[in-house]
Amino acid sequence: MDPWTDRLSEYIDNELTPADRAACEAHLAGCAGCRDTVTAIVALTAHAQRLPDRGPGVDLWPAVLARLTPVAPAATPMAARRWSLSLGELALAATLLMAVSAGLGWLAAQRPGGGGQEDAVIAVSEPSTVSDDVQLASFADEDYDAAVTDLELVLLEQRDELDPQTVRVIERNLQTIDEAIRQARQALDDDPANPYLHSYLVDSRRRKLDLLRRATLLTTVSQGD
Amino acid sequence: MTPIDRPPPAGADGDVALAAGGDTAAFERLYRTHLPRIYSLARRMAGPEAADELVQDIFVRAWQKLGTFRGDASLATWLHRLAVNVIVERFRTLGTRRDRFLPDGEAVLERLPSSRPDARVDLQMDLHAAIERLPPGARAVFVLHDVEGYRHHEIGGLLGVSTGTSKSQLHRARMTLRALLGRGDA
Repeated sequence: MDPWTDRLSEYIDNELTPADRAACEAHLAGCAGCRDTVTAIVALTAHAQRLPDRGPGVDLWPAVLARLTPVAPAATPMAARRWSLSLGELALAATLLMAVSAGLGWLAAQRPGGGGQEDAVIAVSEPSTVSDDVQLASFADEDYDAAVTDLELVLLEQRDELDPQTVRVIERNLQTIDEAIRQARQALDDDPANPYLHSYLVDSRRRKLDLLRRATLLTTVSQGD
Repeated sequence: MTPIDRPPPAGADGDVALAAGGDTAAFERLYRTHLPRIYSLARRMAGPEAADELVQDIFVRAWQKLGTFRGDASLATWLHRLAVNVIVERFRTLGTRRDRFLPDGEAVLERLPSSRPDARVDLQMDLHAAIERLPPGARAVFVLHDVEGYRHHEIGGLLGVSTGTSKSQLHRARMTLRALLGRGDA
């Protein structure tokens, strides 16, 4: 067997000693087969360096996103001071939004000319919220209003500390909850004894307080780091 | 210049900082920018069956480690090195560290059809397909050396083999590819 056949890649990659390189070149001068091999490998490697990059056939981002966990603050030296809700918290916010939205749908259905989706909405909202032992909503709960105001101010002041996507999620949820509270109060004007409305209003106010606390907790954590 | 030295896209530094702070939208932009490069690396080294899952593992690892990226190298270089490490870990997990580096290319040649199904197929497509037919060890060495620009001592360190093994596997891979492609000019 040709002693140089298995060393032609080393010759091409310039990894032979000067003496071996000279010997290899002397061999190549008289061996057409090895010259062909060298020519072929040089062309192959040049070709390999020009291979185009291609992406996958399917979108892998959703699968990647589902596996991303919140970033640990200590491991982010280049990070801007922005904080976001974890995926679990975002899921909780989405659940909260669904619950409040279902209640809004029920409220809409009670008004004359209400929408046509009331059957489905009631099926979601009524069984879990109507109770015989209903807590009457207080419209003059000064402690509650003060707490909400304080938390809203904190959130406003620290808004830039939060990730924009998180801010959008929080604001969208707050808008939905505020709308639920407004409609519940409006409906109670017409039907003050309705237990569902009282329960729904109390629940919506509690949800708003919880959401504000979660959001301000995020900014508090960022300041403490 | 090796392929991993490509300059980062404009605005990437800002996205790196945002993503390191937990901004998934910024991370998605980085993901989409670097995806073709990383996917191609994973597919060439590990084959199409494993590439999708490897790409997910690589970007999840990048998300976890992005806070340690200090900008000494380009993000593309950092991400490329991380990707190679993840892929090599997979080789090790599958028990392919040493034993799978031993088979030679002749066994592959025996499994090939006697004639090419379509002589008009683009040569670059042929090379992609031929690389995927290489034994795992020879394929990894060829991709790292001839496509990605690593040196033998770096490959030896990454794959846990000697420099001599890396050289011999590279030569086997090249000779096998030459035969697979059916003619000498690739």
